[in-house]
Amino acid sequence: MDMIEHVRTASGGDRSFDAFFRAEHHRLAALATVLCGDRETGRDVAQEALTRTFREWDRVSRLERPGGWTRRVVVNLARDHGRHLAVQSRRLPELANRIAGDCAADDAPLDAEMWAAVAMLPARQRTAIALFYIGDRSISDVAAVMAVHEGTVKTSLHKARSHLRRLLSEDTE
Amino acid sequence: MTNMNDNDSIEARLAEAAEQLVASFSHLDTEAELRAVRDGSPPATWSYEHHRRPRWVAAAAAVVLLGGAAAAAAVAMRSGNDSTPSVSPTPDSTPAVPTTPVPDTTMPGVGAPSDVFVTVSLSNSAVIEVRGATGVAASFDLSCPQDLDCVVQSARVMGDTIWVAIHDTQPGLPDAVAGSRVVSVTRSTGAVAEHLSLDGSAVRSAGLGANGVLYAHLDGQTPAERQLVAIEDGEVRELEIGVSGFRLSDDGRFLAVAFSNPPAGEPSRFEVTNLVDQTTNEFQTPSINAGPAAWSPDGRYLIVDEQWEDQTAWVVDPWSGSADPIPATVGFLDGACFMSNDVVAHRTWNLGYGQGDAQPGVIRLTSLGTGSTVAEIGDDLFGDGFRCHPDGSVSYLRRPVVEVQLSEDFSQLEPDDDAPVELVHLTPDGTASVTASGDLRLV
Repeated sequence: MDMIEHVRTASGGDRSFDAFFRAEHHRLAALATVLCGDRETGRDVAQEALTRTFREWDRVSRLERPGGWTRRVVVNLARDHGRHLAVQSRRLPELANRIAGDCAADDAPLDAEMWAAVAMLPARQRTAIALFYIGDRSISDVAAVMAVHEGTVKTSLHKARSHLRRLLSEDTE
Repeated sequence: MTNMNDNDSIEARLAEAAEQLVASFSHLDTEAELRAVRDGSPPATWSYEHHRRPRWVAAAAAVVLLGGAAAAAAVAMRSGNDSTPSVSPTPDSTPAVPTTPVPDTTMPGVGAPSDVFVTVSLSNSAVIEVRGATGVAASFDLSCPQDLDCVVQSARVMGDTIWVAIHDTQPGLPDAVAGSRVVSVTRSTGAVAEHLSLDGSAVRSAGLGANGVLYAHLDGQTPAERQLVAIEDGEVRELEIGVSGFRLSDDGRFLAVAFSNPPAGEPSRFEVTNLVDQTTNEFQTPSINAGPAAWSPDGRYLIVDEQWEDQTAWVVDPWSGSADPIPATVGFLDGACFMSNDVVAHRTWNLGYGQGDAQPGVIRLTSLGTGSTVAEIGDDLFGDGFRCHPDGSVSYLRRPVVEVQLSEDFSQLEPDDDAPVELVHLTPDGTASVTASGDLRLV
């Protein structure tokens, strides 16, 4: 279901932002978690992106896809995170723990190993995977958020899947 | 849209993993977080150790919308400095020197500061190129393992020797680190020697002190793993823990060590040591995650970079015990370098935090003694970094920018991360010459 379009049908600026927030909050937190490789940072980045969206809502709400604008802010914030922080340890188990974060054992199952492997991908591949699978699975929208050609997204996804296949198979050896 | 293939479980596993991950946030109190956004208050989850800065406040800056022409409004005030010595021309490119690293327990000597810097190419990461102001002085093959890629973390030029910290990574996966090493490259002989090799990604940087001790910074997840170590006679000795970075002066006389990532609310601590006479001092900075970036040639000043958020930098007198910026340096951006003992070159171009918009600028030379602007070099610059030369010129890595139309009424200049970069030599009178291009990176 395209939650963005649902939001756009809501009336009134404030009310539509609330609907937008409720529709997007968890998905943006998941997206930011994968991009940052850390659950707590992911939540913070998502919250900050939504705050920026709120400040710009009069304008953003008029965009064809306001969710794309917010996802782009998430990508940029996550990139800043990566740019300014020292590279974290890149061992799969440690990354999996950071992504799983405070998930209790009785929570919904979580394939943290997969996302830890995604976190090890080069930035563009990681971003493409996260936007495609956690976002709306539209190559064109992913390309718009990443400001690249659709062919670049397809190439990035293909390379990323190949790398993931290798990373996950090596990890189980 | 998916390319589902019976033999491709990755596709299906990714799709399922994505839904699981989204669902794993369903326990969050969405209404409380919505109220926090509306109130402008920090999120309840604000706990990550690097986020101690009140980013919530800093992030309140309005979205910067740049039109293509409006972004080019940098003003250049050029001023020559004919009294500075000229740089001796460097020889043209020489072939790489393939040398097999061997464990080494002897240390190359520390010499005088050198007017060269190091670049690497993403497409040939096993080779470092040593460059002067006008071209390649030499290139050296790091002799990386055949089945792994080399990712150079840092390269410190100290006299005739370059101290290189390397991550050996899986091919095509720069973050999948198999091991890390400290290697020295002797420029005059081409000798490459390995001094430290560890599993994992611990090694971050290294350099030789004037006291003959080889220092290396090891990183890790816990404070105990973040170490400054000494490598002497093949032995690794822990000197400090909780270390976030260190910096030796080019001649190895002065050592600055930063202890950052402390508990929330605690200041960052620096220790500085004159390794010749063993004078030491400490100071604390209230800013988060700050690290030492560069010593002035005479060791009087130290550039401090804030390694998070808005890329600020400033200059301190580390021997005074105060972390207060030298007044003229408030508002510097990181990547600054010393042009002389008391003149600092710093950039004014910037990348908008969060927004990712490219804000072109200039390289400004500021006198620490008078606080005045000595000169501004260039016009409409935007790049990945720059290096100072003693003759007052700079080499800067120009990153092309493109205007990205994000929607009908929203566009901004952004770095073109796919484009080749150009290494540009800029003289104080504004003359620019491209000395190299490609997928270069300053290290």
